[in-house]
Formats: sequence, C-alpha cells, structure tokens
Amino acid sequence: MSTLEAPATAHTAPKKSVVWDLLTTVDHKKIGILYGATALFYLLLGGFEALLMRIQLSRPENDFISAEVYNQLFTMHGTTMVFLVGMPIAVAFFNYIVPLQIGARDVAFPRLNALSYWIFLFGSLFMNASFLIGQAPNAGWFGYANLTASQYSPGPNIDFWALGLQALGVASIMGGINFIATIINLRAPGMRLMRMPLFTWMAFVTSFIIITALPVFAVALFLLTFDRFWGTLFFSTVAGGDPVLWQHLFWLFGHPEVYILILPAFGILSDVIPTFSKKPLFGYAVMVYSGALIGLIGWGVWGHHMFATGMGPIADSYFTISTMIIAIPTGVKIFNWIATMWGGSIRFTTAMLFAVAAVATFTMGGVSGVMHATSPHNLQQTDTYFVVAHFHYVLLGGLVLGVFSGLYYWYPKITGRLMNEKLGVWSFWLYTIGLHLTFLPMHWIGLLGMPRRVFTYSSELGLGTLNMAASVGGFLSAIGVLLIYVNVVRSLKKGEKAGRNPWGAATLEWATESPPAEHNFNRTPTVHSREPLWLEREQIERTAFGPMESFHMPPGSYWPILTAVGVVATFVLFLANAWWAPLIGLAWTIICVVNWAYEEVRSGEGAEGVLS
Amino acid sequence: MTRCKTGWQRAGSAAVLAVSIFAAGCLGGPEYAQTTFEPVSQFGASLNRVFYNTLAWTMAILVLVLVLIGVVIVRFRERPGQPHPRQNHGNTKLEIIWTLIPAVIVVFIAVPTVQTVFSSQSRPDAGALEIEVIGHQWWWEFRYPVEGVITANEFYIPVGRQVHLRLTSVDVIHSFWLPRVGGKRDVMPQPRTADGEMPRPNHLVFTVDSAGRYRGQCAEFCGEAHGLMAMYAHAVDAEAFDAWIDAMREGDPSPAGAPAGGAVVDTAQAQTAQSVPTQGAQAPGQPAQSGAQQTLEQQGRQIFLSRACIACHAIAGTTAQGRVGPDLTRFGTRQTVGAGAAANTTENVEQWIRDPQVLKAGTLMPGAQTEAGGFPSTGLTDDEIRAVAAYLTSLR
Repeated sequence: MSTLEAPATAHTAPKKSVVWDLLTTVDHKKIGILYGATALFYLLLGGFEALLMRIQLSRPENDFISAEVYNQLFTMHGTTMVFLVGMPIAVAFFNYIVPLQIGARDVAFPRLNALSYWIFLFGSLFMNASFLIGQAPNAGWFGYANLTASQYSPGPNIDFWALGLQALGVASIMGGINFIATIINLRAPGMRLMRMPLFTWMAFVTSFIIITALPVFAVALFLLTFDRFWGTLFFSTVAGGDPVLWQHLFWLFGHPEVYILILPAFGILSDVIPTFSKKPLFGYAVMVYSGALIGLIGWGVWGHHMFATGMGPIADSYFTISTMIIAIPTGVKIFNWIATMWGGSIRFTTAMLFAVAAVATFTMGGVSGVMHATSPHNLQQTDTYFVVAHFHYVLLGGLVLGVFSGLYYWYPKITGRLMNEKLGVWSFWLYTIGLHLTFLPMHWIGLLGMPRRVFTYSSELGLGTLNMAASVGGFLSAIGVLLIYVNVVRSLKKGEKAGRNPWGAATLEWATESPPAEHNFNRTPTVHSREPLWLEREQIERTAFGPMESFHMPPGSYWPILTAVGVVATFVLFLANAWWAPLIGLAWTIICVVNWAYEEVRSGEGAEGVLS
Repeated sequence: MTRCKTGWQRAGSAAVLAVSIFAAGCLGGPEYAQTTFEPVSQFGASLNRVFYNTLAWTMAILVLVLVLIGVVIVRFRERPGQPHPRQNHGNTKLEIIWTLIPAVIVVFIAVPTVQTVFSSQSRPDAGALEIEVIGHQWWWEFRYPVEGVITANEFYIPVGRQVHLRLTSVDVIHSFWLPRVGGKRDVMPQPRTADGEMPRPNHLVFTVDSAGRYRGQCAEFCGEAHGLMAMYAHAVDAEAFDAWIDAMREGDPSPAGAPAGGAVVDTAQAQTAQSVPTQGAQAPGQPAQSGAQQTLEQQGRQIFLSRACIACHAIAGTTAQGRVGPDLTRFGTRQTVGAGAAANTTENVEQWIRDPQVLKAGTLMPGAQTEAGGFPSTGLTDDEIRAVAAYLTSLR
C-alpha cells in the first residue's frame, strides 16, 4: 500500500450524516455490515416464505395457499436463500474479516466494493418487487427451460428472475475479482499464502469459483433473455434447440455455486474450532489443499443433478464416480476438525456450539449426498423430499450453522460488545432441534414417494404426520432464528464490552480495537507464523497499536451508488419491451463510470497513483 | 469380500426395514401409495439393492463421526485448573489413513453402483409391450401403438411381461415416476416429425411382478398444476389385460339399457327410452337404473358429440377424435378426474365441466363460462353439464 504525506483524511474530514456516510462509504467494514444486514433481512423474508409453504404442506390436500402462490414462494425461497442470503452473508464476512486477517487497511478496490453492494441491493429489490404486482418468478430457482419460454411463461415473472439475477451476477463477479486482488496484493509483510487463516483461504478459493462459475450462469441467462425478448430458440426444440442445454449450463454453474455457499462456512469453522479448542488447526496444509480440491472437483460433477434426464450409462457412471470422489476431501476436513478438538480444552461458547453442531449436521448431509451419487437409486431420490432433506442438511447444517457460529464469534469484533450467551444457548438449541425436526423426516417423506415442488399432496400418500412434524420443526427453528436477531439488536447496547480479543483467538483481526478503527492497524504488523496472536502477540500488538504510520485512506464516493443505479436500470428497462429502453440505463452507467474514473484527478487526491 | 458385502447389504436392508417399521408403527401404519421401499419390479429392487449397500457404508461413517464428536464433547471440554493443551499441528500418518480409508470405501460403493447403472438401462426384449408415454401440461397420455389403444392418466400393464416405455412431451419437461415400479425418467419435449413420430424418446424398461394399482405422479416441476399430475398403473394378469385392450378398442359401450349390439343410439331411440321404462332389461343384481338416468346419459352423449367437447377429446367408438385433451374412452373406470385433482364422482365431473379451475387451478381445459389455455368457454348449461357428466361416468 502506497503512503502519502497527507494524514488519514477520514479523521480530519468534517462529519457527515450517518445516512450519507453509508451511501458513499468505501470502508470495507461498513460495506460488510451493509451486506450482513441486507442478508439477515432476506433471511427473514426467505424464512417467512418457507413457513408459508410449511403451513400449506402440514396437511394433505390443504388449501391455505393456491398453486400459483406456492410456486412463486418456492421459487423465491430458493432464489432468495441462495443469492440474497447465502452468497451475501459470506461476502459480508469476507468484507469485514479478510482485510483484517491479512493485515490490510481495505480491499484492493474500495469503490468497486461499494458498487458491488449497491448493485446487489438494487437487483435484489427489483427481483422482490415482482411480489408487489403478484407476478413473482414461478419456475423454480433452477428455472428449467423450456418452462421459462414465453410460450409457457408469458407473464413478466421470469423476466424479473432472469434480469434480477443477471444484475446480481455482475455484483458477485466484481466482488470475486476484488477479493482475489486483495488477498494476492494486500497481505501484511510475512503473511505468506500458507500462513493465511483458513477463512481467508476459503474466501480466496470461493472468489475463484465465483469469477469462473457466475459467467457461465450469465451466459445461460443471456440466452434465456434472448429467447424471451428477441425470439431466439436456444432452448426450444422447434428449431433444433434443446432445453437440456439450459440444464447443463445451469448446473455447470449451479454445482460450483454449492461450493461458493459452503466453503466460506468451512473457513469459519476452521477459525472458530481451533480458537475454542485452544489448539492450532490440525493439518493446516491438508485443510487448504482439500478446500481447493473441493473447489476444483466441484467443476466436474454437475451431471449428478441430471441423472433422470437420460444422459446414458457412460455419462451417468462418470458423474457417479466424480461425485463420490469429492466426498474424500470433504471427509478429510471433517476428520481434521475432530482431530483439532481432540486433546483440546474446549470452551463451549455459543459460537463453538454452532460450530460443533455444524460439523455433525453437515456430515449427515454429506452422507445423503453419497446416497444421491448412487445414480441408479438417484432415479428414486431426485426431485423428491429426500433431496430437499439432503441440501438443507448441507446448507443449513454447514452454511447457516457455520454463519451463526461466525456471527457469535465476530460480533464482538464488529460491535465491540459480546452477544448474550444465555440467549445464545437458547437460540442454538431451538434452531438446531428445529432444523433436525424439519429435515430429518423429509428423508422418509421423499423415499415414501413425495415429489418436490408440489403445492399439495394426496392423502393416499400417507404422509400427513411426517409433514406435520416437519412443519412444527420449521416454526421451532424460526423461533431460534428470531432469538438470534433479538440478541443481535439487544447486545448492540446491552452487551458486555468485548475488548480486543475476547476469545483469545490467534488470528490478526483480533489485533485491532473492537470495533476496529477505520484504518484497522496503526502500523501494518509483520507476521512470522500462522498463529500470530498466540506465538508473537507482543510484537504484533506493539505495531498494530503503536504510533501511527502515515497512509492514505480513500475518501467516500457517491459514484458507486449512482453507477449501480445505471447498471440495474439497464436490466430493469428490458421490461419496457422497447429496444432503446435499456440503452438509457447503459448511457447513465457510462456517464457515471467516466466521472468515477476522473474523480480523483478532479478532487486532487490519489495523485500518487493510489487506485481505489 | 463378497460375503462381507452381502453382510453389509443385509445390515443395511435390516436397518432400513427396522426404521421404516418403527416409523410405520409410530404413525399407526398408514399405507404409503408411493413408497420406494416396496418395489414390485426387478428394476425397482435392483435400485434398492445398490442403495442399501451405499446406505450401510455411509451410515457406518456417520456413526463413527458422531461417536467421535460425542467423545470430544465429553472428554475434551474445558475444566478448571486444566493445563493448556498440547499444541500439535497435525499428523501425516493419520491424515493419510483417513484419506485412504474413505477412498477404499468409495470403491466399494462405486463398483456395484456402476454395474447397476448399466444393468438398469439395458435394452428391452423383443417381446416387450411397447407403450408411448406423452407428457402434457398437466396430464399423461398413454398410447399402445401395436394394440391401437390410447388412454390417459390411468393405464394397464400385464403382470410378468416386460414393458418398454418411450417417453416424450408435447410441451415442457415432465418426469415419469411410478415409485413402486422403479426410478423416474424425465419426459423431454420433442419436435414431431412429419409423420407424427418423436425421434428421440427417453426409455424405461421394467417387468412388474405382482398385480395391483400403483400410483405415480409427475416429478419434474412443469408449471402451475404440477402438483396435480398423477397417474395410476393397473398391473393385471394377461387375460385381464387382453380384456381391457378389447374393451378400449370397442370404446363407447352400448348405453346401459339399450339393445345389445347397438353401439350407436340415435335420438329417436333415446326418445323411445324416455317414454318406455326399460328397468326389466337390466341384469338382476345390478342397481336399478331409472329410465331418466339413461335418457340423461343419451342426452349427454349427444351433447358431447355435437358440441365443443370433441375439439379436444376422443372417445373410441364414437366420432369424437380430438387429441388436444385426454382421451376419455372408458372414463367411468378411472379413479380420478383431472389427473388426480378429485375423485371420479358424478358431482366432481359436473364441477370439472362447469369450472375445472376450482378443482385444478391452471388446467388448460375451459369451463362452461371460463376460457382457459386459449380455448373458448364451452357455454354448456347446467342441465347439459349434468347430462355430459352422466354420460362420461357411464363409460365403464
């Protein structure tokens, strides 16, 4: 990071209002909080959608909601949870934690970071605005062609979905580039790649998957948009197109997407478990390699979503074997986490409870994954509640329990106060028990013959009781989640003061104030080990809290949010169904980008070539 | 090795059975119409065999992991006065072991799996019964090209004879699934060639071992009424199957009470039937049917054959040859109306004709006053609806 003679501008600049500050901020920590708050809001929304579905399914042949509403709910539940909760909550932690963990003052491109967030926010609002006109997307989060063709989905529902996701993809790809650049370039002296905390490593791997997988989805969405707006026939059999092409493109993105969701949680677990076991991570190198390997092999397994499409025995066999192989590095991670705890002196804080539950629950989801890979029987499992059980075990067991662990773990760093442990333990048990009560019966519901994505089921299926149990579990876990929200809000004011390093953790983010100063570290510390705060604490703290060095902090900018308006408008204006309408958004975007590019020259800052 | 594997499979089967029985016991032993645990074909059984093998191995690993986590929680929790734990960074030997052992287990899972992949997708025998399954939003069409029979939503297959399904769709992707028979297979949209063929169907090949009525339903999300796209397979012995084929070929049976052999009853005859009670003509033991009922059925038949119905529907043995909607030959024998939307009662059929959206939102069938799927409303009056419903349910 280049330094300027000017003092940290943020400290001398006159205070602006909080709202203006948030709208123009380029601080990775504030953007992280914005991402986190937005994702937690959408978690409520997606959870609410799930509860409505569970009410509908609690009895056979129920008529609580109509088929059309149900289809919109399950589509938006899946889309919301994947794109508006799972990904942004990981990005929230990437934003807040990664620069701190590697000893940086911000991400490599702070304004680009803000642009990512605003595109994400506007894109997600646009997609959900479809509910206001009762025309929310209704073809599933997987949006299989040719159901999405204008002929079968004439309303604007699918347009909201395709255009909204296209915008979100732009945000994700920019975010991925940003984190890769940050992790490669902005590490503190001595922070070699193989000294980085596992969370930063998994952010690194995830970012590579993001910048490679999301473009595949972007291509698929463009083809779909062409089909819907300009009458091309990529996914129609009428002129030799093929709806299976969509499935290949979607899952070629969709399976790596699963690892985009789960690897950040693996990173969280790999930081939380050593901290509370008071032992270094067992087999650090293997944990890094297995994470990278999972990301890599994740590219070669997409066909296991398509065993029923009739790919033929050769392709079925290939995808069977590749999918089973991915279980090996995953299993290694599980055994290494257990070995990390083995011989430790484990402190069961709420964060650790969530982490241990995540390891156990994720394992349950992992073994049903191997059952899916048993492709002949997959013909019985696919598109049933058995699959719903599996991926909720993986995503709630791995991702959500991991994220809650991370929330309880890093909350004191972010706010300066500890979350209430008593409330935390309650939320943990309610959520975890509710989760298992919801999704354990679904294994049987699926194998006893209930397909997914049905708004009702015949009483002939005999599945009323099991479904009722799942619905009760859903409400139980919802109470658990609400308690977490109560805890988050309540602890802002009433929480115990945390201090710099309340958990006695080893990684560099705990060598800052809680919450960290805007510039993070007074001087960039030099790192000599993987556990700097365990092995070289005095030296690190002497630098981090020592006398200030001079450095440049990028000032706030309103160009990211204005550019985001243009980018999202470009997609939104497709709905006007006039060829020139999107060009308005595009022109706006270009004007903003040009202004953005000259901003620093005009304001006289960044003259030394500090790009932000 | 083989013995060991069989042992595991047995253990797996026993475990599944135990859990299923336990579950069934808790729930008072309901009937599961679509269970995968009780396959009625070799196809289904072979899928379960390989599943139980995987289940046994994965459950063993899961139990191991959960036990280890349990031990960790009990043994290694923080206790007062405990010394700081020893700082070890890993153990290469251990890590190699828990990489290799899962790798070996994967081999034990993968080999029988791949064997079954090939065996479950083998080509049909020469003598297999050929059935074309055509998916529609939101109903099933079954065509027996050799026998010259077409039906919808419920189809018959002979026990003990191999069945070869060729699956295609006329609109979006559906998935054909009869859980008790075996795994599902997607039903892909296909462009028809000039002679109406669909060149690249998906295939399912199976032989059902025991007679029964097996429920299935569409398993790929296919739009608004996807949840109401059920089907029934009636597995019957060869004789009953042949009798069914004959009955389907004959189509519209002579209306009850009409002179035997009179396949077509003209209006004059119907009017005669109205004036002359014909109760005596019915076989003893059958519920007495009033002349009024017969008249109603006759009227219904005439309305059906002269109004919009025949634009979409066909009934063998009549002039109705529409192929847009479900074939209604022997409709009265079916379990449900609207592919599982409601029980096949006269009341429900009337409701279906009046306004099918009430029973199945999204259906492309127009009602008396409501258009749907681009088709105009039928404009039938309540009396006409009653007559048509009486006619259709009489087609047994």
